[in-house]
Amino acid sequence: MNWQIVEKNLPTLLNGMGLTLFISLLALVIATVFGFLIALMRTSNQPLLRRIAATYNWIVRGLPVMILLFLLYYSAPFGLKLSAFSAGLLGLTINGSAFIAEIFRSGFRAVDQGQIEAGKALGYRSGQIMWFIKLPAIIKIISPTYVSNAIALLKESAQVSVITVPDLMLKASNLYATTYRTWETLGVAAVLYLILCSLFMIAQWLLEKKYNTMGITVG
Amino acid sequence: MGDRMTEKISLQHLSKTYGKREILKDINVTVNDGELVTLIGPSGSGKSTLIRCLNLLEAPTAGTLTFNRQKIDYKLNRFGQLTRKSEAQAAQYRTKVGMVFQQFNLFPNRSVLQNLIDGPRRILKVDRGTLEQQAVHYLTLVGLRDYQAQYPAQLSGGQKQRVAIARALMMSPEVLLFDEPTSALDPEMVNDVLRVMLRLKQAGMTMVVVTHEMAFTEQASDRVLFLEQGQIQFAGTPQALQQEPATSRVKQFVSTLDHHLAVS
Repeated sequence: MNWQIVEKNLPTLLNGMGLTLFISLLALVIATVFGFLIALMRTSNQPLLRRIAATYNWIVRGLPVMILLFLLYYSAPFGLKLSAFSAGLLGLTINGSAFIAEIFRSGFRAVDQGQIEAGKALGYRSGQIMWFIKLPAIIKIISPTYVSNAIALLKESAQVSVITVPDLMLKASNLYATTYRTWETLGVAAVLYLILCSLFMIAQWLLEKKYNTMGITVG
Repeated sequence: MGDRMTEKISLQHLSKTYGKREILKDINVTVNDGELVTLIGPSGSGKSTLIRCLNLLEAPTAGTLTFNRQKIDYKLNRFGQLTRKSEAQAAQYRTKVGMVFQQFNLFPNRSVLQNLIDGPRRILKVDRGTLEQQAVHYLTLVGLRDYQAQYPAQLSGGQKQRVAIARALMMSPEVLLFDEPTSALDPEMVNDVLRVMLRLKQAGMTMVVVTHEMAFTEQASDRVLFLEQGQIQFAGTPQALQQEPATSRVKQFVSTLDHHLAVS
């Protein structure tokens, strides 16, 4: 291990790490919103909405992220020309939304019907039941799966490097190509990925701690 | 029964079917102001479905629901559920008709106090200060004054059910529905809950209670309805029930609730 090389290249890697965190968080936030909407469609009592959402989830979940990224970057539909960053963000978002939709759906199915009925019996309208009863209950139910998925999204974001998004992975592999020092470049990148993923795990831990103080076991 | 009774809630020609299965057949129920009506009957007789039709948690397949002699309109979609519009109207109606469930159904992520004030704060837009005072009042009534900060998981079944009753009272309902309120409780906690219900009855609350507690039924109810196979087989005062012949269906049912095992 040559620490001089590490020291010299660390700013470059940190720069890429910033972009990795940025594109992943942005994709996660947008994918969460869309995933929620898709889950609503999938659990709607309108057959057409259900079918559209199911088809979307079927195709997207079966499509390798890398193929999706290439398709978006090299030949986006409707003659769009996407920048590498936009294509990368879009690809991660599309992929993430399908998985997050399934996570939300599993949460909807697991919400205690009794709580929903208690809300109805008090006079809550359907929007209030969603916001005040279902969502808080869902957060408790889905948080372990959701965080795991968020971590997976962050790791998979390394694939945007293949369409030249200058993220941590691209920076690290470029440095490797010029130095041929595996541990000093890719090894350090691995540690930086681990640090990023740990942030999500800490968030999960805090969330579970909050619920446990209420005498509820998360899981 | 007196002739000056004011009608509170009524269901006429109620029927409920799930697919081909008929759960309730042409039921007529009227509950008057201040009255306590108990619903008894074997499991599967439709008594839970009936009480749930009273606040439209269950959508009747047919029938007229009136509250204070006003018709509560509802329409069903092709899945047999209330339409979106009817559901919104039902929500409005349900603020006046409280319900207490067998499984308590408290919100586990909310403290006792929050369980009590969330509903009236969000729906009736009452201010927090008023609600906190009101919450103390009702928690005192159910004997749980010092439990405001507890979470449901920290309470016993009987305590949870009394919190659930206080939560329903916080909406200042005109009618309270109880769907087997003591069936999920350990025996020693049953009386705590029944005592609270008796106190509400004495305070003039209109109540409909699905129960298997015959002592409570005989002591507290103004009228008893016996439901079997989706039909009301007996309706009358507890005294009239006593005088039914031992061979009647209702008497036979009541005798099965006595857990004296015949040893031959």
